[in-house]
Amino acid sequence: MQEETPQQKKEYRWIGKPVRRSEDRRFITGHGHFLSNLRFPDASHVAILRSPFAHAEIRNVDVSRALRQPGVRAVLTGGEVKDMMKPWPHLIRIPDCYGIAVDKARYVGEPVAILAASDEFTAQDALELIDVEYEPLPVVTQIEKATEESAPLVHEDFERNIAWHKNFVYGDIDRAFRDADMTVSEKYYFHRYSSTPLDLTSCVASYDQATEELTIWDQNQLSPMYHTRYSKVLNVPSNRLRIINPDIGGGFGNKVHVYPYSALIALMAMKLGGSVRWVADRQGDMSAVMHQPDRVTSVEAAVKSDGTILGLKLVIRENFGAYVRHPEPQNVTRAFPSLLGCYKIGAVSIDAYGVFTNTCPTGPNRGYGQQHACFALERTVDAIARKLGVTPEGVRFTNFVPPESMPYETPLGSVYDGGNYPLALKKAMELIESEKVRARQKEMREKGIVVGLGLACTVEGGGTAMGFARLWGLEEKHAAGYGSPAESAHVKMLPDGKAVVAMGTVPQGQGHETVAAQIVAEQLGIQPGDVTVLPGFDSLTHPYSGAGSGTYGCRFSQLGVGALLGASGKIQEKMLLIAAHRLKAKPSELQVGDGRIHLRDKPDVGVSVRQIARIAHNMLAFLPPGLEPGLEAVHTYAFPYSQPVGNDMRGNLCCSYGNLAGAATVQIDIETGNVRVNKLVIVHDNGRILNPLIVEGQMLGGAAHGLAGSLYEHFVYNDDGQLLTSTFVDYLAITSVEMPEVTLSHMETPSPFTPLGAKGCGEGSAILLPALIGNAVEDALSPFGVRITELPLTPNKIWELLRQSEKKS
Amino acid sequence: MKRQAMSIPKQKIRVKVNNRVYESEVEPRLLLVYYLRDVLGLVGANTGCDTSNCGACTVIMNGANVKSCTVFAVQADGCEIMTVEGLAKNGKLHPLQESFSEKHALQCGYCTPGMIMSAYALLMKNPTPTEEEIRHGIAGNLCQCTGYQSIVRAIQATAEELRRGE
Repeated sequence: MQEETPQQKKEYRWIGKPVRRSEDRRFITGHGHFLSNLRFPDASHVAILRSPFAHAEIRNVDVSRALRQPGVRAVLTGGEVKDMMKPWPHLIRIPDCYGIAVDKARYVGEPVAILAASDEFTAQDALELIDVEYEPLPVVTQIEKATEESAPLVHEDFERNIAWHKNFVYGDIDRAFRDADMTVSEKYYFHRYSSTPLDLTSCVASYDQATEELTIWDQNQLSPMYHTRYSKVLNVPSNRLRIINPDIGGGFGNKVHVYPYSALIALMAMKLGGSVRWVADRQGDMSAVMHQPDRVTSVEAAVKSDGTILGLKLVIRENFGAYVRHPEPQNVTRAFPSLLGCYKIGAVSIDAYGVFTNTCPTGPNRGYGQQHACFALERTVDAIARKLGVTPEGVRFTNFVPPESMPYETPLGSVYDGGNYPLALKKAMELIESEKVRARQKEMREKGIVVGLGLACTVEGGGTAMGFARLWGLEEKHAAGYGSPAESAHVKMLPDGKAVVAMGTVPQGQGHETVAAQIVAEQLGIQPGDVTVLPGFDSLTHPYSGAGSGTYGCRFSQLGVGALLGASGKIQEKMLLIAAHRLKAKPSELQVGDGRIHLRDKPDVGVSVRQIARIAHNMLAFLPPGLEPGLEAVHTYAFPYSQPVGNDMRGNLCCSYGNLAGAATVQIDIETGNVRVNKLVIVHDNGRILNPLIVEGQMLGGAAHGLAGSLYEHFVYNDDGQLLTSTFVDYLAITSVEMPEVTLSHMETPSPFTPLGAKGCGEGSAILLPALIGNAVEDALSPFGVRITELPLTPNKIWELLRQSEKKS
Repeated sequence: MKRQAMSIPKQKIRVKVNNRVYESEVEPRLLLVYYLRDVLGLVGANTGCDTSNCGACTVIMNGANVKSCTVFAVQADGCEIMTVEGLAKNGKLHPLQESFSEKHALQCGYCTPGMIMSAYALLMKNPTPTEEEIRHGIAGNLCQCTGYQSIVRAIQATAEELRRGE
């Protein structure tokens, strides 16, 4: 009998079910283990003095008055920090980064000194007693200005402020442009925003001077992979460094870049001995942790008259902010696996550079650059439709990778693992009733009601591989070993049949405790309620892999799952051997059921899980000869289909490729410029759904972030480099009132490559929405000749665009 | 966690929190949210901003939902306060808490205590809210994870359940 593969299997006992989350209990009762909730009774409190200037030489930092203040215990300046730690390492050439200004302040909010005192009030008050002599320098904040001859240099040995520059060519791009009937060109600007997790950045470090052991509690989503980095930078042997991540109140990629602060807090702890605690304020977080970069993308598309896109030339100019911190320049390269979206475009060239400016350093934000790439691509597709005088869906249908071509290898080497892109778009159009909407649109325009319909599609790459380092420019000889990403899980069954699990993931609300319990319960024949998954991460007690352990880039459903299946699979194998020995049968004749293992053909003949556990732990005389006692296993799962990137810069750099199609109707008040989203439809396919509650939650949450970026959220700098939007008063995070109802529709095309056929699903809607809203608004405003090339589409922006096009006509 | 000041005379306050009376001496500048968290050890209410926007600190004070970051502890003298920790009765969760979990109306959980208390206040004032009224009722509470839809559903389900229970 041909058995179904795990990807093909239709029905599982627990996997795929809407199991309620076990982690909920502590959050709904007010007992979340957020770092700011944990007690450190004798900790010193740190306050950070930040630069008020975007660019200034630091002539002198005089801390003497602060040190004389009762209760102040220590102050560290940049110069002292530089002597205590190594700069944060990277695989490419970057300016030294210590997380604190040494010779110059390079962005508003950059730490200039850190001060430890007996309590928070004393620390805050004493900051005013630190005297800093600044000599302000000219400021540059804009991408296009940064590379001009006259621009001030942010880092002296980076000419023209160019932090990084690379060219990539995939496929025969020259041929594509020779064979084209026309080219469609546009320049797009994508702005700065982030996901502003509510849990403020915080860190506690505790240093035992007697044992020379350092413990850091922080919110770094990538701390497992960074553990040896912290060790190297702080010069603390890795076996004496413990990193603990408790509950994290939202990450979205933003909480990867807390690590420079963690090092500063750790150094203070090492200087003082004992514990040191720091909690940021919202302004500090918004101005000086990370921003998603702003970027100019010039697109030139080679197009046939039937709408076929033969090739794309992309010129990317990205604002890296004041420093490059690993994993940047990943904002540029993260999108490569899904760069060509849902389309079978044969060639693409990318000329990408990043510039330094006097703005906040950039880092990962939900989508991690895929939203920038999707915006440029999907807006271009609409531009092609407009130029050809055809429907936007028409161009898409012409160019979609057909489902029968799956698995499909893109020119960049990604292996798309399935998905019916045309069907997804058709569904989205049906759900929004596109025909009706269009029929009524004309009527409504005649009445002066401005409405628009937008469509957009995307692919989201989940589970990023280690080979990206080659794309950043790491030489082949150094990059040769960087291939598969991995994740680890440790499962143990207790003597009475319950189980405990520990993983190398660092969840921030994704429900890992629940999904991991579903998977382990499935494998071991017990209930999810019998499985405890240790929350958060602890480098001392959790297993992890240097090949990317952590929670980011939508990797859990592929890699975390693989690790769980591996570890619980080893235990299941032992359970079957023990049961077989007990029942005098062969393991292949047995089946795992509810709480017991029984003969497949005679279900009432079996052994309970409890009995098996007792045998394995206590009644060793009943073990099959030669079998090790206990039911405990660790497994590190590496995705098998990701090889090191070669000299051609091609590689399969994600473990999975989900797809989305969206449709939106918007209404615009042309008097005020206000954009209202009337209906929002998202059709998505993220492979096998492990827990529908959680997948829907990710879809809806991502949509909110994407919509917020499209209409409301924007980090704005003035010409002096002052951040004008550094609190929620000015930075307009989306609320329940602005958020429309979202209609979600699921398709499930299991991946043939991931352990259960599941794909990553946390970023797709965040990636899709800016393009979708841009398309909808341009459709609405097309009678006015307005082109949408940048976001956010605030009332001001719409009003301006309408006035500009009025002038033109 | 100590938040000491230098020689500012403390004031006596008497506050009833979750049906229990507390008598404390606090500095005038101590915010209610920090009184609850650091003095009383009730860490449900959180802080997520410094400008009274995010609502993570929402508690009920004398029957109305307030942002405890914008109330001084001394202003709570003689008042009755309810926090999320006071919702469950004898280990049994309040219907709102159950609903939030059933409808997956929380992910990271950071906004959840404040969100639940705003929902509680809303349903106290308006037991049969429309969807629009619900959305306006929680407009002062930011959530970065859920996109609000599941929160609205949880509140609707609770309203329905409380109605049926009557």
